[in-house]
Amino acid sequence: MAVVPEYPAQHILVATDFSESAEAALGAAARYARVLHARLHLLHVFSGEEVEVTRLLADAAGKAGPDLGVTVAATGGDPAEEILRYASRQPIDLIVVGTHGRTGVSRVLLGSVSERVVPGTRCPVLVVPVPRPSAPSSPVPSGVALDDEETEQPAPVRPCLVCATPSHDLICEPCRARIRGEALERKQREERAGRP
Amino acid sequence: MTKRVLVPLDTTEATQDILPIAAMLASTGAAVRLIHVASVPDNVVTPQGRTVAYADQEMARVQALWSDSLGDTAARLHGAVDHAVRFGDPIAEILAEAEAFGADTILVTTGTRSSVKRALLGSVAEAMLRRAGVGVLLYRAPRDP
Repeated sequence: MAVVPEYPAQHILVATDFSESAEAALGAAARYARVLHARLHLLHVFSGEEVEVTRLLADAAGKAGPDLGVTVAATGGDPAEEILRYASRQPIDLIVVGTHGRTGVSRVLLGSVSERVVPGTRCPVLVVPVPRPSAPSSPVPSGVALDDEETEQPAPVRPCLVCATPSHDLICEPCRARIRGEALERKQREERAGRP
Repeated sequence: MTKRVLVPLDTTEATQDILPIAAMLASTGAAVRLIHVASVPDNVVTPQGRTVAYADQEMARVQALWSDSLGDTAARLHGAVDHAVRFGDPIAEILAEAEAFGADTILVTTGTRSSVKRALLGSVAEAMLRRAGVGVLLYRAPRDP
């Protein structure tokens, strides 16, 4: 049976406006780049006069990690158009963008930028959500923010399906242990009885 | 990192085109689950009004059919790949499966038919993004005009 060939992602473009949402996108893009040994392209599109772009981009590139190959670029204009232009001129295989899910206009979930980028490119577009606003915010130093485990948000607390005590899991740990124990007992009983 | 990826597959060729991307994600060490959402079958009745297959039998048949098909596909992908078949409304079932699987990313193809392209972007992707914490990897299939 033919093995499915892997999609080659060697150049990953991440667009940033230095917002929280863009930070999440950068974190995801950096992790992909690291695992796939891909080059990271960090693009900032500014409208009008923008100060300190170079410093901000350098900061962002630094957050992505010193072990990554990063290309930074800044250009003025319409974000979606410039992202598409950059992706068509460089050998980009994957575009990563943030979504302004909960901040600002809640109706525009995909974000006007990603909504216009997707139909305009053959690249897969990864839309990265902002970390849950409901989660208890721990003051994570920005240097650690891109680390794998630190960006993991705890699951929301909800009643356990079995005993209805509040839990982070669908079935709380004590109940799971009990179910596991019962299953094991059953299996042992069946084995003793000589059944398959 | 993307650790758990849900890949909804249907019969269209477009979804076959996203398999290389699923393979790429699997190669990064992510657990991949292929899912097909079928519509809930009705009883199969002959023109004479005789019921030849009941909905539950039909459901079992469809389930087995898709399990085989998804199993074959999963075998062609390296890595931790499993599969599931669900019945009902595609969006609701994909979201329910995402929840059950603990998916952090859903791979969505924007479809081959331009008429549904907007709807897909608007409904599936939006519904998925509304659930904070789940990323969406959108892909426009190469054979999509």
